[in-house]
Amino acid sequence: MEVSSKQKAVQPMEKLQKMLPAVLLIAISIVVTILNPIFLTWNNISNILMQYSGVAFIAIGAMLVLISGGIDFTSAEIMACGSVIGGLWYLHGGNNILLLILGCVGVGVAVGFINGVLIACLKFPPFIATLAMQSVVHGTMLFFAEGKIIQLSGATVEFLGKGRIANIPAAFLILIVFAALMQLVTKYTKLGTYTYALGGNEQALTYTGVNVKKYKILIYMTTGLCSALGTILITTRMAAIYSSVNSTLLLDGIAATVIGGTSITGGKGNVIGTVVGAMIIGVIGNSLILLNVSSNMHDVVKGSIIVFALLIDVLVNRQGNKD
Amino acid sequence: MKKVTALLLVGMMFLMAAACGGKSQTEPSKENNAAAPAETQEEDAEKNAEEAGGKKQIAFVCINMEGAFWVDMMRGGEVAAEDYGVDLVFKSGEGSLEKQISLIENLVVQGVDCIIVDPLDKQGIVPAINKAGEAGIPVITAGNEIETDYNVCTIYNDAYDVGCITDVMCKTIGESGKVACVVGAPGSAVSDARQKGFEDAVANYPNVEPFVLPAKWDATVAQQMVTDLLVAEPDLDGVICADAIGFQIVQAAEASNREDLLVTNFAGMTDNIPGVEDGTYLLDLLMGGARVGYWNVATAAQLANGADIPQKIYLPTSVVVSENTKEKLDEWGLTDKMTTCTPDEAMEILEGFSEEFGPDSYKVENYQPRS
Repeated sequence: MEVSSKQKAVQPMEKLQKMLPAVLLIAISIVVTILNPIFLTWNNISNILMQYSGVAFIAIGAMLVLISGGIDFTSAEIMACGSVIGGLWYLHGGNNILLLILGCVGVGVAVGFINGVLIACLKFPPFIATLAMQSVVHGTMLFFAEGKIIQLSGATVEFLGKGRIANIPAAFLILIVFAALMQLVTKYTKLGTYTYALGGNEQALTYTGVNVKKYKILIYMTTGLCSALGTILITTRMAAIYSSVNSTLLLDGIAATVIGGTSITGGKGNVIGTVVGAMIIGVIGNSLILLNVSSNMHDVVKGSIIVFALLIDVLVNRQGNKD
Repeated sequence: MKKVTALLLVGMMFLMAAACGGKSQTEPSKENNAAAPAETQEEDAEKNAEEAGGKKQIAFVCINMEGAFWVDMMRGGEVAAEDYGVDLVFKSGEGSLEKQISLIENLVVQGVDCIIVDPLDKQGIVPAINKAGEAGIPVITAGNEIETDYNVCTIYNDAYDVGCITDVMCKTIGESGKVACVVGAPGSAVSDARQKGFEDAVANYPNVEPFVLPAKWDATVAQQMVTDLLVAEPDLDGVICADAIGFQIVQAAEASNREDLLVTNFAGMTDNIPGVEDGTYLLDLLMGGARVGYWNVATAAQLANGADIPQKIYLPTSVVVSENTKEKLDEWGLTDKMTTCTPDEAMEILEGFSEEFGPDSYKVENYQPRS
């Protein structure tokens, strides 16, 4: 209830914030298409969808914790550790892809659970707790990996990584189904409602007698699950597992969420915006290659767009406070 | 409830620490075990005497200890330490220059006999090298050209080798077309040298359009960049990898239905060499992680024992090509310019580092620059 009354008070800026991801995506697309018409070919667009579906999964996870007023720095490490442990099971289990999936999901959910316990039960600040866990998960990955590169093969790997249905990347279709599911979860389940309420006013939620600890742990576990599912898509696309951390994944996941309209102060955000945010990150990287721009500019452009999205967020909050 | 949770977590931490501790404790014992079968009581006594007299202490300060190449390098280094009878410790800089500097400062205090460092930054590491040098400890800067009064650079013929690879690629595509080179990160000495080698060589082929893709040493980024480039330039003829990421480029090519894309691999990882034979890769560059590790520790052992080593020495490399490609190189007159070997020979060299750089065969005159 509280959330919706707050929302009414800040309508004009909030509308802009909600529209921002779509407006940004269209604006960037128009500019790039004018400069290089190849951008708008299905071949190119489907490549972006294929490449960034995994990032979108991770971004949806990051969105959940941000809405609840927390943060999670372990997503890239979940990818590294989950894929290494899943990859080793895959190797020992006679190239069984189910073992890879099990390994990734197991690590993701377990790390999410520990994050949740540290934050909800021991009251660690999410920033510190997940930063410390980042280190623990990284060390665990190195312990198991021993520098191996595991190559993956088989029809399922091929399908998840590079497959298409009616020329639409399978990874993107999986993302659509998952995003729809998460949209339902955030809108119509207790978990969703309490996630927003936690970010809006945790104290108030506690007074209503809700088991806040349980839901906080569940949120971090869901985030871990999202990171694990994203890991499966990224790993199968690469058809190889490296015992090193994907250098851009953590930033991309959080950036996609913020660009997608999730408030860094919690309480606001939506799945569609986050998926669009992930695709904006993809479009930026793609267009800089298409326009033959130095990849150093990639970080500058990505950073500037995050700053812009944060600025809108700050303005929305300021207007909300005034009202 | 809070107490129970805290206790559970502390328990978990102990278990993890025990697991990790268990591993680190097994490492030195592994070395001991390797030597154990031949050991008699007399040898034990000798060993103790030697330890009392002091084996030379060598420390290897890495950037981090992740990735297949690094782990392979450590393996080679450990073999060299056994062959040369020195004590070797690896220290991880954990990706931080400050950490590398403080590690070196601590090693100086400990009074080790030689320090090998793979520096994160060419300039930033200089004061630490000077500090070691002033304390009489020689320093090896692995893979980096750094000029101080106290260091030996164990480097690669990067620019020259990538130039040769570019020649092979350009000749293979008939000196006309589009070629991309995937490098590491601009600003990194190794990456910059490889990029320069590509750009200088490709300039000799006016009908070849070059593209440089800095993938930040990240296989995921490399695959994405090449996938995007294949959309922008669907008639791209070849990709030169300046890092061991050929497999990812082949994935990008397959996803774009460009199985005909020519790909050259790099660094000569044992897993990748068979790909040269079956045509997955046009060629690979034989370096080898274990080989690099062995060579560096062997050089450190020489320095620790007071040998005179020139300020710059170069790892002998060769281009791994199939018999067919080798014949073509002969036709194009490129075989005089570069050392080549077949995949089978490459595998022998990769595993024979102990003979190649062992105490009986280590010769600085073999480690000269190419031009």
